[in-house]
Amino acid sequence: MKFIAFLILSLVLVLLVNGATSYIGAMAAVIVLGTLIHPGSFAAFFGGGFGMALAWTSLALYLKFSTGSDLPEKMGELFGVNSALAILLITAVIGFVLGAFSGLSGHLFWKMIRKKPNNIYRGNP
Amino acid sequence: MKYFWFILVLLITLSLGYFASKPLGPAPPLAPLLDPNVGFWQNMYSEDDLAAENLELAGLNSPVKVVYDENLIPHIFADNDEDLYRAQGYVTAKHRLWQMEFQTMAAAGRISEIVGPVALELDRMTRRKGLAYGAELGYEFVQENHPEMLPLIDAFADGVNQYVESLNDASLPVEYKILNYRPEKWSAYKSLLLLKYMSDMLMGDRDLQYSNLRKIIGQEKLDVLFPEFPEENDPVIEADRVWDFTPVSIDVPDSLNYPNDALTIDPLPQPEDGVGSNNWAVSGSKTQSGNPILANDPHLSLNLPSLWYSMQLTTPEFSVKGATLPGALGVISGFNENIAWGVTNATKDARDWYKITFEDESRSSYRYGDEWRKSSFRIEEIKVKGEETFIDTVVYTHYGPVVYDKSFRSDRQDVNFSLKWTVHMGSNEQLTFLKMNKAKNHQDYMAALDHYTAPAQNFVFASREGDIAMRIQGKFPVKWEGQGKFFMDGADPQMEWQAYIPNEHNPSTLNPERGFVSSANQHPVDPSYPYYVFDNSYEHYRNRRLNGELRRLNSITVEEMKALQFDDYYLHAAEALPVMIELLETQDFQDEKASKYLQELKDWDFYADPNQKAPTLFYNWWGKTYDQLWKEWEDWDVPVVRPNYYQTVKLMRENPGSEFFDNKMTDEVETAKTHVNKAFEEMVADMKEWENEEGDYAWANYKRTSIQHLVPQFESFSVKNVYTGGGSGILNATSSRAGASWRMVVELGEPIKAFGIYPGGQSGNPGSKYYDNFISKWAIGEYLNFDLRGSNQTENILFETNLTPKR
Repeated sequence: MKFIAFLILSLVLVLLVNGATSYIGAMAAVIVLGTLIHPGSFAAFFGGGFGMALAWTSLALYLKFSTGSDLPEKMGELFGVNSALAILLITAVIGFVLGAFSGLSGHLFWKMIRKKPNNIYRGNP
Repeated sequence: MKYFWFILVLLITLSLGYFASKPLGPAPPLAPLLDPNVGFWQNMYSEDDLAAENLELAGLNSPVKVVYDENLIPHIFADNDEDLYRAQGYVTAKHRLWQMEFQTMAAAGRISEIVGPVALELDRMTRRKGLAYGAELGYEFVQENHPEMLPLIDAFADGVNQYVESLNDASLPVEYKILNYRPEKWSAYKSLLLLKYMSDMLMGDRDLQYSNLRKIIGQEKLDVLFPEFPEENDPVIEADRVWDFTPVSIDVPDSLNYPNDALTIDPLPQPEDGVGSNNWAVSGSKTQSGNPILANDPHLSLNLPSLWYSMQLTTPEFSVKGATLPGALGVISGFNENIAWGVTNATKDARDWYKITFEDESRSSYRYGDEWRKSSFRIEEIKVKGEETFIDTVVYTHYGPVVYDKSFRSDRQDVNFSLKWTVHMGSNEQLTFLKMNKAKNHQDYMAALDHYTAPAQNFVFASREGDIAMRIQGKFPVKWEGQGKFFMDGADPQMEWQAYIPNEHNPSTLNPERGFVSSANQHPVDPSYPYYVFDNSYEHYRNRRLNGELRRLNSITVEEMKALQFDDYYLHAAEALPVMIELLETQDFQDEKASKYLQELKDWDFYADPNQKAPTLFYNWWGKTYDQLWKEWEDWDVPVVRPNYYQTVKLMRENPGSEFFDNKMTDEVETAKTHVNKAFEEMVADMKEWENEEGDYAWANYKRTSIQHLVPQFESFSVKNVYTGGGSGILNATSSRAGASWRMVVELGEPIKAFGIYPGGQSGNPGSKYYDNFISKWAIGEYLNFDLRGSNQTENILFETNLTPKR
């Protein structure tokens, strides 16, 4: 559940922050989100990764279908992968890698600074 | 442990963020390029998707209206010239910024700044030819002689710069994103530099090759193979034109001592094969409507973004429409409410080489007559991407730059030749076009041309008053016969250019009796013209076909003029093929394919239409025959010029046993017949292999016309294998990489009817639907409506933008 929530929050955050600042800003936002939500290492990594990847691919697909341009195909050829789908996948992978490590960084930061409670098993006097 | 993992993962994250923003070797920075918020995905918008109804532009005196028609052709309506050209700069940059900047960087020898050391040699060559030097002199010339023009060029530059300043990461043209650099400020100097770049594209010389050939075969044989005028000369200016002036006289040297070195260096890069043009005008006496009709189609390298950008420019004073050169002011080939004009390259040797004898290693002085003259040094600082700035020192003599010397191509012979070129002389070509845009009649046209220096052009003209005219305009030195054909001794003052042909002596004609004027890069005049005229590259086929058709046609319509621009008749084949078939030893081959190919050639009507197979067979056979005929010359292993196709065919027909066809390096005695038969065998083998590998050898499939992006490595931004006919030496001169870069037909009636097309699209953005949308029409000879528009016309509008003065 935390994974899904973190993924959706990352996706929304990247869509908002990336457009207003840059992909570096989006990475910083995912780090902060990871710190605040601290969903666990697995969820932070894959949630952040898929969140940013989905944000990028959904925007790329929106642009592709709203404009009808064949530029992705041309860029695919230029990259030597010869298809728009491949260039979309490369975009997704780059987004994933940046988002995943950002999410994990945030979560690990939380782990580092959290205060461990030291009276869990003290019981009643 | 938690500290360790956090620091490790954070370092990986920061490294990823950092390295994703940096280029990896030749690859562009990945994240900025792929990020759909700013990367190439943002370049998928077409111009109408991003249309703005209102924009503010600083410096405007009054509002300017820009109406884009359905083809994205902007029609700019301004109240005064300054506003007009400011808006032209802004609008052109909006659609062609990367192209105009890239071309000026190429002209300035600055490509290394973009692509790194791989372009260093090219940049050094460009700088050593002195294009930037010529543009600097041109700017000084404008400052001194036409200061009133500076506010207009500055306004254009300011318009460009306001667009550059408005750009953000997302709206940057995609080429900047891929090549990872940003646009810099435009300036008046760059507009002038662009026109110098045209000179470089259009002008060549063969002094090196002629010098070598003269040394090897001697002057006498050279004169036989390279006569000054062809037998069937059909010049630009009608042959019966009477020259009613006294020519400027010059001193002819008593004896000629040419430098006698055999030079094995590579010649300077020459204009690409297929670069040329057609233009003509027919008078009302030959047209169905009684109105003059003018046509122009400049043949240049086929590139994307297109060399040309169409526009209408209107003020209360004038309204002009046609093809602009992105980066230059006004319209270059077009029409207004009163006249139409067009250009073709007026090839005439305006580039000469002088051998320099330096006094010593310092090269600070050189021999000139009995004295030692001081040379000067120009330091060229070439910035190189990823490396330290390269410093190149170029020696200048009074002739011009020493292109090759001990520091450039020093592995070759010590050459030290100085390049004399009209491009290095102050001039103001821009003014010609500004004046021409406003011209109302023949007198205005002639006055506009007086400012034009280089590259020399055949300016065709027609007016609503009914006049048609042609003038060959450029700055031409007065030369004695043979001057400039070979390398000359720079120490001998007798070799100097002594004077220039006055503008009023340049060949021109007005309303000739034959009812038309025309040019197709052929000889400008017949031998009665009192000045020496020479160039290696004069056309011998398109001109005769064009003039033949114009003589034949009467009651001419616009449709017939369009058809003539798209005419695929292969005159060279019509003259050469019968000779070649006659020289074939057998007409009855056992080989089925050989028989089939020969029959196809015999049945051919000599039209190089895209679906025809015979043009492929002829092209292949002729190419091999020509190579065979002059193979011995290739074996000399020094650059020489070969006789042109016209002279070669003439010699094959009239003297097939000529000594020139015997390769002295073999034991047998070869004749034209030997070469033709051997070439036929090779052609058959070649075509069989081609058929096996590629299939259908229809002409369009074989010649593979491609329209290439300015960065050839960006193949996917090019359009390949365009299905179209024509070829080099044909009126529709569309070969593999060159052809009609712009076609225009204008009928000067009431109202003026105009048609135009070019192989590309108005947008410079490879992601836009307007990037290459004209090509399919261009390939089949169709045109766009180019009539002048009024500011309130409402039909076929894509969108409008109002430019208002910035408060």
